[in-house]
Amino acid sequence: MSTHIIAQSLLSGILVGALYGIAALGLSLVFGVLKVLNIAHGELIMLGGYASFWAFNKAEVDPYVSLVIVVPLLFLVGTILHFGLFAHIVRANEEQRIKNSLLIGFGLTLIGQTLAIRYFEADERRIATEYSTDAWEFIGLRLPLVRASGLVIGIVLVILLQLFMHRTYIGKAIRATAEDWQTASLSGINVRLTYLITFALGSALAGLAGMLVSVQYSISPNIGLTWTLKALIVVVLAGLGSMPGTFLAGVLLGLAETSSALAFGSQYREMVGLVLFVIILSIRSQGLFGEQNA
Amino acid sequence: MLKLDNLHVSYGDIQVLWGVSLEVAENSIVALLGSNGAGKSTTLKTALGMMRPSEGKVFFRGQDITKKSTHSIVSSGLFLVPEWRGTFSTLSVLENLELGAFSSRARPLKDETLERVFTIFPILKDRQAQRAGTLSGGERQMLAIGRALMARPAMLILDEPSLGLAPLIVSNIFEVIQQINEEERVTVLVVEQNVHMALKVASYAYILENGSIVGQGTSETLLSDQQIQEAYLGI
Repeated sequence: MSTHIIAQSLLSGILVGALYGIAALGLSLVFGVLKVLNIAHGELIMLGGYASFWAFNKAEVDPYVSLVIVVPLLFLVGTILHFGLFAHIVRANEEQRIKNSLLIGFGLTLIGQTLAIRYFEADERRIATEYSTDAWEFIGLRLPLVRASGLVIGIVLVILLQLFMHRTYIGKAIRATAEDWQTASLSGINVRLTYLITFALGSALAGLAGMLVSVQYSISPNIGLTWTLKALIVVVLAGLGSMPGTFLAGVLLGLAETSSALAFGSQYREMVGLVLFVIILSIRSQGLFGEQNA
Repeated sequence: MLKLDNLHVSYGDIQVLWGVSLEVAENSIVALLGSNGAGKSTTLKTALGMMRPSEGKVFFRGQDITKKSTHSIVSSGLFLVPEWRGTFSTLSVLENLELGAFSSRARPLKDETLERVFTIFPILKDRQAQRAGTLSGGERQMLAIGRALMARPAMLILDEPSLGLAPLIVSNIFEVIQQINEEERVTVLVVEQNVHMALKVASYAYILENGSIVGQGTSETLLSDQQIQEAYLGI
């Protein structure tokens, strides 16, 4: 096997991993703060993907430009979902929240899929722009433009999120609520509002991921669970409480997948993540970058 | 300043407060005494809107706050330092203090209050960049009180401030409580098992037992009361 092939595979691993990382950011945020596991996170990614797709298909809006609609739209969807469903769950104690959210998430996943088949049709779609097949070539390596954009967007996003969480009052309130909601409310923080903002933000992040999926790969009504699973593996790998850690864990998963495909053949690709999932859970349950007490 | 009027509170089927009434006058220090499980923490949780009474009312500065949410009660100037200290161990000391000033009444005065808190607790200034989780027990209690001051409260409730602290640090903390009361004109309700210490700083005290107020009086009267001496002071 030539070093060229290895290098190219590792590069694609990093690029697909960046997308895994972005897909996991919202799930991690919501899980870390609300202690609810939103299994329907992948459905929100799908919805974001379709929103971008239709904006491109019907109105010829560039997918990257469509983010100015898609991200607020998913923020709104998150707000509605929170009001309608998750706000009721977070009244329960934290152990109960996970169980209840799993059930609700599964329900939402089924509903999301069915509605998507009904209204978006079951065909696989992708956004094919003029620059979709463009790529940079250097030292014999091929770097597809739209995939590279995921890495750049991911890095910028993590920096912005980090600044938001550490420099703004809302961000600090979110971190405080994540650690201890009771003490947060005793500090004068409106915990319910913090939960709402966090959930909506998590949904908005899913929308952004969805746009990238529809540009880089393809979307169909049943992609939701696949992306939830990827995001979940990344969250377990990273642990809670660190946005850069989550993104990095996504990149690691991408690298692990492509390198295992090189070593054992691509049929084992999907299994690698799940094996990692089990190993990490059994030897380091707080994840690679997680807080000890999270 | 604060008035609890005939509070009845239950956890599910189990009633823990049976008509608790007490009053804390403006600028005073009042103590609420009682042993473990007497209902002290439940009383405070109800005052702060974290539990709802089945009967009775809570008044703060003349307003009925019985049904208000915790964060709005805190924003109106009533601040609780809980038994578990209430500091965020994953956040830095400075971030903890900043979050104390989260409410709109305190935020504009943040920098000024921070200076004041650093004068009262110089150790917090030295440790401001450290994570709160790395502080010692005494330092964490100072941070908890410092955080409370950041909120510019009209009234401060301290739940077992002496818990788990060395005697020297305990008397330090109580000196600070007195100082806050006198210099910052903050009304204080201190909930304690350490009866000696509490009666030293408080002018008036209530005794809670099995969910009811079983005694009250000025600190001098209580200190000289023989029954109180036997039951709580171990004399």
